[in-house]
Order: sequence, then C-alpha cells, then structure tokens
Amino acid sequence: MTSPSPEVSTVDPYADAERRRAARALLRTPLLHLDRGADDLALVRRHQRELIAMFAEGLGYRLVVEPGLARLMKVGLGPDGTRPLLRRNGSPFTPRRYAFLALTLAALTRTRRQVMVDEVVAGVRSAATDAGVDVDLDSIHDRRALHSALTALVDLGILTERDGDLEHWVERHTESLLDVHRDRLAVLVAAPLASCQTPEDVLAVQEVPSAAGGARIAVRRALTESPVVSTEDLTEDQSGWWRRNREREREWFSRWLGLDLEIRAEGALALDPDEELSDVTFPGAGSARHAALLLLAELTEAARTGAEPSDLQTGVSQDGSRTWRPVAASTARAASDRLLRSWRRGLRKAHREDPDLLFAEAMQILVSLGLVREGPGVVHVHAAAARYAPRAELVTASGPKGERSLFEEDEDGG
Amino acid sequence: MSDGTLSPQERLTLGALRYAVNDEAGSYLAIMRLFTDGISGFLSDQSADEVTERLHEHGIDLDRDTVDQRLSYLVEHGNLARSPRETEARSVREYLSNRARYQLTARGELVQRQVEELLTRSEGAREVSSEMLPGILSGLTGLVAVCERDLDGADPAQLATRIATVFAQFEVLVTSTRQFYAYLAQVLTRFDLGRDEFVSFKSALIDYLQRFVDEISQHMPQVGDQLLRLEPTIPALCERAAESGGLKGLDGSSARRSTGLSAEDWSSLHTWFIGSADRRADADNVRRLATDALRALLTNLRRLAAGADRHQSRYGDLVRLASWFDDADDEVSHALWANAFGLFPARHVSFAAETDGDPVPSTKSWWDAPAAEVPIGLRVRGERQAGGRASQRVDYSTAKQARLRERREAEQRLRRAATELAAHAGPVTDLRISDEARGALLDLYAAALARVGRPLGAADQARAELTTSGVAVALLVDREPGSQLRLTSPSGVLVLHDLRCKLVATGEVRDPRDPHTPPRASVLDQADERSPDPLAMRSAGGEDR
Repeated sequence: MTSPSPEVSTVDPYADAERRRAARALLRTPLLHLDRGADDLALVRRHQRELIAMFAEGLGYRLVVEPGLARLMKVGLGPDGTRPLLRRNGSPFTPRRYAFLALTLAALTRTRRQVMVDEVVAGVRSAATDAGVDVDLDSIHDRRALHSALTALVDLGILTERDGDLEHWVERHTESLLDVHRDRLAVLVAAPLASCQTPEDVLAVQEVPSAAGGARIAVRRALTESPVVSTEDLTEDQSGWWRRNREREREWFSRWLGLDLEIRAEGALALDPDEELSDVTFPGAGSARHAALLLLAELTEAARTGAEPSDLQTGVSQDGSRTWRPVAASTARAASDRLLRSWRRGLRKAHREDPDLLFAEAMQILVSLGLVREGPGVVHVHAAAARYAPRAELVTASGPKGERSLFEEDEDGG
Repeated sequence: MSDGTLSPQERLTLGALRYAVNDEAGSYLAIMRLFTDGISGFLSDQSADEVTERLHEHGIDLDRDTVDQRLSYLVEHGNLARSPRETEARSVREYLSNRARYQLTARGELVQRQVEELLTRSEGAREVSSEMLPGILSGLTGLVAVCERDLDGADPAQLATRIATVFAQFEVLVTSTRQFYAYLAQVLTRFDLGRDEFVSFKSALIDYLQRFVDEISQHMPQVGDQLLRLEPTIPALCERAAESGGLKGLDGSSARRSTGLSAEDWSSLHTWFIGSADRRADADNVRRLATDALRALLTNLRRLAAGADRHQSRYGDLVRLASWFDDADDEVSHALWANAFGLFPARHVSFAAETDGDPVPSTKSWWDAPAAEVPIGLRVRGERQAGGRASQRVDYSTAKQARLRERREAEQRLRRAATELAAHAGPVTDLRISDEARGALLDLYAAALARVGRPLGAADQARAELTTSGVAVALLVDREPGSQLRLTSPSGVLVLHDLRCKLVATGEVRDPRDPHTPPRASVLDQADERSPDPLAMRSAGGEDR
C-alpha cells in the first residue's frame, strides 16, 4: 500500500486497449450495470484503479465502481439544451415529463425494494405536494407523463418490471410489480444538488482553480464531450494551458480514449476513428443528415465569400470573427431550397414535400453539433464547418442485376 | 355492503364528505368552521348575513349570493339544515332572505370534526396517551370492589358512569396507540430518512419506549388481574348498570348505549390487554413494532454514518429539482437534465480530413486547411445509401437470408446426388453420372480413404457414408489389383485403377416431417459451424420440401 505501484499497464498493449474500451464505454454510457453493458462493466472493474485516477485527474469526473455497477459522474456540461432525454418513440422529454421523472425518483428513495406501481403513484402524489407541483394523476396527460418517466427509469435500469403490465397502465390501470435497484438509484444524480439553490446553480460550471488542474480539466472535458471546441471560448487561463500543451494532448487522448485530435487555429475537435463514441453520427446516413452535410457545405461557401477579403488573407481579425462567420438567414434558407432542387430525388419523401421541415431538421442537427449557431436573421458558421467537403451523387435504387442492396434502409430509417 | 357496492343510503351519507374535496373546498371549510369552532360555534343557528359577516372577519370575502349558494349546497348534502320557521314565504328570494337561519346537522358536525382531524394530524407523530393507564386501572379496581362487596346495592347511575369512564379512557388509549402504530409503520418502510427526520423519529421512539413501554409493563399485569377478577361478574354488572334507564328513540327502540354497558364490549378490553386464544395482546404488538422500528432506525443510522456522498437525503433534492423542471422551458429543462444526471453520451463528429500525409500545423485555420471529403450516395426513389464510411450499423438479415438459401440449395443438390448414386447401388465398374453425383462420389471416396488413414492394404476395406434427409448411401472400397472404376460425367472421364468399389443404399427414405427430425434452421446453424471436411456433407437434417 505504501510503495508506489508499478505502472505495469503502460507496457501491456492488450491491457491498454481494454482500458481504452472501458473508458469509452463509460463516456458513452455513464451508468453501466449488470443489465446494460455487463461486459464493459467487467472491463471497468478490472481496470478500475487506473480509470478512477484517469477520470479524476484528466477530466475531473468521479468514477464510482461497485460490484454491480459503474457510474461515471459527468458534471459541468453547462447550459446545453441539445442533449435531452428521449422517450421510447424518440421525441424529447417535456419539462412536465422531467418533473415527473424527478418526482418518481424522489418517491422511489422512500420505497421498499419492491413496489407496486400504485404505491409509486401515491409516492409521486405526496412528493408533488412537497415540491409544490400541481399534478392531477387522474388526468390522462399527467398519467402519460408519469408513464414516460417510469419507462425511462426502466430503460435506465433503475426499475425492472418483475411482473404485470406497465405498458398498458395509462389506459387500463393495469397492475405492475417493480423491482427498485437501490444501488443504481443511489448514484443516479451526478450534480451536487444539495448545494444548489436555484436551477442556475445546477447549470453553472464549477470553477476548479488552475493550480488544481482547472484549465486542463475544462479543456479536456470540452474536447471529450462536445464536438467542437473554440479557442475563443476558453478563458485566458485555459487558452494559455492549451497553447502550451496541445501537442502533448494528442497522445493523452489517443492513449486513454482512442480519439484523434484535429487541432487548428480556431480550436480543436476530437475524431473517433471507430465512429462509435457519439450519440449523433455525423456525417451519417439518413435524409436529414445528408441534407445537413450538403447545407453545411453551402453555408461554408457563403461564409467564405461573405467575409472581408483582408480577413481571408490574413486569417486574423481582432474581434475573433475568424471562428464564427455570419451568413444571412435568408441566404441559408435559399441554400437549403437550392440543395432540395438539386438533390430532390435523393431525399426522403417528407423532405421532398416540405422545404421548411428539411431546413429545420438540417439546421437542428448542425446546431446540436455546434457547427452552426442561429441568431436573429443571421446564421453563424463555425470555422470547423469548413472541414467538410461532401461529394454527393445520386445512386439508382437497384444494383446492376436488380437485386436490393444489403445496405438499404427503410424510408424512415436513420 | 356485502357485495362491495354501497347502498343508496350509504352513498347519500358519504355525500356529506363532498364539500371537503371539491374545487371550492376552502370556502366550504371556512363556512363549516363558523358552525363548529370557537364562539360562533356555540350559536345554534346563523343566518346567511351573519355567515357573510363572520367570514369577512376571518378575511374571507364572499358576496352574499355566493354564501347563499354555498349554504344551499351544504343543505343539499346534509351538512346543514334550515332552522324551522313560522312565517310562510311567497318567493325564493323571500325564503332565502335573512329570516332563513342555518344550523348544523349531526352528520355535518361529525364530518367536519373528522375533516379537521384529518387536516391537522394525519401525518405527524401522536403521543400515546399512556397516562390513561393508571386511570383505567383505578376504574377497574373500583368496579371490582363494588362487584365483590355488594353489586345489588350499588347505584346504577353511578355504576354506569364508572364504566363509561373506563371505556372512554380505553378509547383514548386505543386511538392514540393506533395512530402511533401507523406512524411506526411509516418508519419501517422508509430507508431514506434525512438527518432532521432521523432525529425526530429517534426522539419520538425513545420517548415512546421510555414512557409507554415502562408504563405498560408496570400496569399491564395489574390491569390484566383486575379484568380477570371482574370477568365472571360482567353480565351482572352490565345488567345492574343498565337499570339506570336508557333513552328511547322516536320509534320506541332503545337508543345506542354508551360502550361498556353491554357485556360484549368488554371482550375488546380483554383482547387488548390480555389477548385471546388466537391473538396476542395489542399492547404486546405495539411493543414489538416499536422494537422493529428501532431496528429500522439503526439501519438508517448506519446509512447516515456511511459514505460521505449518501448521507444527504436525496428526497429533498429531487423534489426541488422536480419543481425546477416544472417551471422550466424546453431548452432549460434539457440542460437541467443533462447537468443534474450527467447521463449524456459523448458527442463527436467523424471523418478525418485528407491531409495527403502532410501533418497540418496546429496554427492553420480550418478555413484554409484541407477538408475531409465525404461521399454521399443519395438513393433515388427515397431510398438512401450510406455515405462512405459513415454508415449505420449494417443490417445483416438480408445477407443471412441469402446464406440460408444457399445452404438450402446445397442440401438439395446433395440429396439429388445421393439419390442418383443410390440408384447405382451394387458393385460399380462403369458409371455414367452427373457432375454433382461425381463430385459426391469422389468426396465419399476421399472420405473413405482418409478414414483408413494409411495406404489401403489388401485386407482393408474403406467405407464412407453420405446421409441426406431422404437418402443414405455408402461407398465401400477395397484393393483389387487389375480392376478399375470408370466414371463418366459431363466434365470428363475419370478412371480409378486397382480398386473395387461398391455402392450400398443404406438408409430408408425418412419422412421429412418426422417429429424426431430437428428443425431445419438449427441443423443449418450446426452445419455452418462445421469444418470444410468432406464429411461435412453428412447431414441429418430434414428438408422443407
């Protein structure tokens, strides 16, 4: 215990690869347990000593490893509304549904290990009173919202349906017996809620003093979690650290997380050669993503030509507009309509018929990736947008022999 | 009630509860309080004007018409009644004018009392009225003395008073204990007590143990003794006490006696203090429950003491979070979700830029750096092809179907070949067969020799068998210098020298629907795993046609 343990793993490429896989699994699924990611959990447990140290020192994340679970406490994302909890049908949760989720969790902290769903409802009623949230659990709307919360918790592995029919609880008041996984429930909340007095406190990013690795943690977190990091968004402290260490960081990211850094003047991004460490695959398949990529190329072109020539030559400007370049919203919309005209036959039916929908979905993807920012009457394009040069072509539906391709998707797929 | 449905009469009675749960429950409760609480509660009846005025004094401003409506609703549901009046009204307006006065009904009074009780003390801890125990004991002792001295000489009215007192005290004891019971049950089921709650539960329980359990153990044996001594004389006692005379109802029946004046009432007292054949004394039960609750508290204490991250009660945090969510807009609620729970996956873009092998300096702008070429195949007719490497997870089902089909076709070809070979059963020297049968025969030949494992000796006989779903055929090979086998097929002629071959049809044709035949898919799956050894052609599977 007292002597420093030898770093055996550094010379064992197999262990390195295992540890990398475990770290990536945690970044993708921050709560691993026996019902979800049991294999990855075994890897995490095997390498927990190095992983706990790496996440704490490198990213400022606490990693909790228990016999049945591993939980990476990801905090400090800041106000980012592009990562909602999704319902089973893919639509994002509403505030009401989130509220029910929190109320259900509150109720579950007070229940036994097994509950009937009506006991949960009683608990939610009383928690709602404590929260001052006006609920009417006899109404179909609130029952649906509660049902979404329950199914989300089932999907997260906090609840397991032991018996019964939770599926039809809303309409038919069916009974359901639920197992509560206390150990998972206990590690579900990542933020220090007890010390938060307002919602803004939850969204505020905890400042870590630079001496304690604050700059390193902030920059690495941004590179790990978000698609694009801009130098201009860094504090003076952070950008100083970044200038000094960026080349060395390539090695850290590649060794621990298997990510390649693309470092440019305006910032950096982390590329995953395996294209699996992301909830949004971009560029990716599907009509909307194809359109988003094509639109991005158009916007980049417009941003280039719209900029002052002097800026383009020097590549520098005083107000930092080198990173973000404006394009009029009307120009963006026109570009979207133009690409619809050019590639109409290759787009999904709904997109062919509704140019507004096409533009909205494409923009939503680009915004969620941080490549584009929407302002009043203007669209700001990030420099990283220029890293893509799509080469589109129309492909006929059937191959030369008329057989269907293995890679064909359904109309709504992707 | 027996079949679980309410009689209309019961439904009507329960309707008296309705004012307490409807949308305007606040004003209804305020009105009912005027009839039951404080000074105004002593007034036997009140007019609508008085009600309006008093409500105003309590800070509730309702106009006269609304008050009329509210009072009328309460009359409708039997909580209030209109006082009897002499004058005859000629219009509704006049009927409702300030001559109309309202008074409380018995039902209204009872309901309001229960409602107030429910509102004030449904959740909190209730002290067990253990001070009732000495009173009960002395009451019982007095009764025992009376019974043993001279029951017939005792004053019935005084006797009834004593009995009623004992039972009144007993009722208080039981009620308070029952409430404590319910409260303890709450502790037993809770595992996530906050620090404050823990402290209050703890002090309540310890006080309870100190006072109630002490007193119970002190008084219980004596109460039990007195009850046992009193038991034989209870019928006589009740009879004597009942001589004080009871009230007769309007229809001539006796009004309800107060508890204790009939012999059956005493059995509940026995059950509680002494227990009965099939039931422990309730006092014992409470004591045991208290012990369980203490154990639950210890569990909580252990949790509070363990781990810095879990000492906080998360209930309060989550409840607060719920209210923040409920007040937030979409964007903020998504951000709150992401930050509070941190369950979001990492997000990255993909595709490395084409740098032609030259590293791009970190100081180069994205605007000028080489771009990543991303091929997009836009599928015409609404179907899409994945763009380059950025494909989605591939769906293998079509490929799997194709493999299954190939496997099935191979099976059929093999069966045809086996059938053809079986048709030539017997010693073979000159065969005219199809290519497929030739292939099968050569495989058999190879398998036979391979099985022998060494050069075929004079006495050796090599044998291999080909089994398909419908046909089984075996090839026997032995050494016979001078003989030859001539195989003719569309792809040419093959001659094997110094060998004697014999084909034997070994298997009966089995019914493909034979229940012992394993299902096709599993057979094929097994076949998939086999090595490409000639014997792999052996197949025991059933065919689907």
